[in-house]
Amino acid sequence: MTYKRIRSLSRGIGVLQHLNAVGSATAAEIARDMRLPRPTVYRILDVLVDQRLIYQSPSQKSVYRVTGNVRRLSAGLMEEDWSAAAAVLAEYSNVLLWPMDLAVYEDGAMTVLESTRGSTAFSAGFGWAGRQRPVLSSALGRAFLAFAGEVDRQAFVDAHWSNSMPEEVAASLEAAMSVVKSEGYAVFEDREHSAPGELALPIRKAGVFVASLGLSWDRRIIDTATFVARKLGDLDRVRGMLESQFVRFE
Amino acid sequence: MLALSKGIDVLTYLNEARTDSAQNIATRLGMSRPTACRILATLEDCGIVARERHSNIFKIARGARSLNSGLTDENWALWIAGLVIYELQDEILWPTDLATHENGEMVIRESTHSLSPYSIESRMVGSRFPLLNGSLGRAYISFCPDAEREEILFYMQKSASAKGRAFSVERVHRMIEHTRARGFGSRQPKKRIRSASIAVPVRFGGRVIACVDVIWIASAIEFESAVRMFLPPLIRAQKRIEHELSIRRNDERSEVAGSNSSSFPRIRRPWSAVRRLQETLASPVLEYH
Repeated sequence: MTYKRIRSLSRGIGVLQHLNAVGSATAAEIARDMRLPRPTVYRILDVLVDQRLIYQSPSQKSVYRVTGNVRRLSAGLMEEDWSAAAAVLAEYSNVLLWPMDLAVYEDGAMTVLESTRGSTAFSAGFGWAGRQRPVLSSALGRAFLAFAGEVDRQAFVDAHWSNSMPEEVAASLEAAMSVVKSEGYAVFEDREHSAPGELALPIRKAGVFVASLGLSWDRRIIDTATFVARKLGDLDRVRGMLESQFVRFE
Repeated sequence: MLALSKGIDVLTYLNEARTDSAQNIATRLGMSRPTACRILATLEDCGIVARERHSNIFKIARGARSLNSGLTDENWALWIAGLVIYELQDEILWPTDLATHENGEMVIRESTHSLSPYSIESRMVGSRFPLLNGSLGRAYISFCPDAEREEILFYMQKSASAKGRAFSVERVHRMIEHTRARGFGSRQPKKRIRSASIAVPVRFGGRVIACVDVIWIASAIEFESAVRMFLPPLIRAQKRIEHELSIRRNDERSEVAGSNSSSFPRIRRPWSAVRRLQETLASPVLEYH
């Protein structure tokens, strides 16, 4: 039996996800970014405040932030396999200093399983855990795709292009992937300079490329070449730790 | 909006139960089965809950992480410390601020300036200050972990040389030594700035996750006597926040336990935003049948 979905619930969940993704926001900003009517946003925020999941800043009442009580919303998630990975990331978060993400390929996108966003010295966007990242326009996706086996790559192509990939897309993708393959890492920089830069390495589990490890940074602070040269070695060490963790699991 | 509220109740319950059937969830939360099913189907569409294979048993899905991934160390500190700076202001009357570090700058996140009877050049919530120029940033860079400080200084040097400016690491190190020896960051009045300030770090998990300051008019109180007056309450506020953070973050049941072992800010004239923030710190809302 299929049940009718409840729009006010999915919108409310969407607002809470958005607030997590941006850290703090006013009702007007949420209404604009989510293209929702402002009265709707206010009603949603009121419910979330009543549920003690968010609060208004006492110094600037228009600003909403999440409370520590949101922790209860995923406390029952059971994924033993990746919790060891979370421990490795946490251990190295004071070494890398910028946010790291661990993502797996799933249904045409990269799903972020674990992230150090939220407890790093420097920040480059946050609220990525549990979210999906695009394959082509993220370093996480490019690192994975370049090293993925035929099956995964075909699955990705099938998920995005019903028949076959247009030739010019295929050619430029091929070129980009061969750069990633020869360098051993992927870098992705959005056209917009304020968007974070991202560096990523592919991760093997039992000899098969299954995931990728990303490191993001603020390009307004440091240029790409300097950043990559400074961090690649440390990121590679974390990858080594993650891969050896996985081996111990099997 | 009742549906949203019920949806959150279902989600809260399922997080505690780990797995359960729609029927059971409906019974436990006192709602009809079709209502529970509609809520679960909607949450499933959002990627928040998932159905176990070939059954009507639900569990929490990976996507639920997106409902709390914005709970950063800094957001923890703001939630817990927001009221503490109001209490501090209540005690010392001069304005207080709470700031967090953001890629080489301190950002004012909460401020009692509008409440203080003493008017000082206004510092808006959201305004940013370079790390080396104010008491907040000086407290931050002096007490943050070594690796982080080296990284910050590396970026500062890099950016100074790109702009062809001189940058003396030695001078910064002298400031840091001075700050550490005294235990607080400070700023003396200079040129057109008539105020002085001192600031202390809030530490958690080996990091400095926020800084708290007090500002006064330099001509009204001589610097050393201001330190004697303001530093003890400032340090009490710092310890209080650090204590609350460790209780609430280390204990899974802290939402309940925290209300017993913590002593929450008493603000003489709480207005609505403060009262509501106090409520979020108190206890969970859900009751099961």
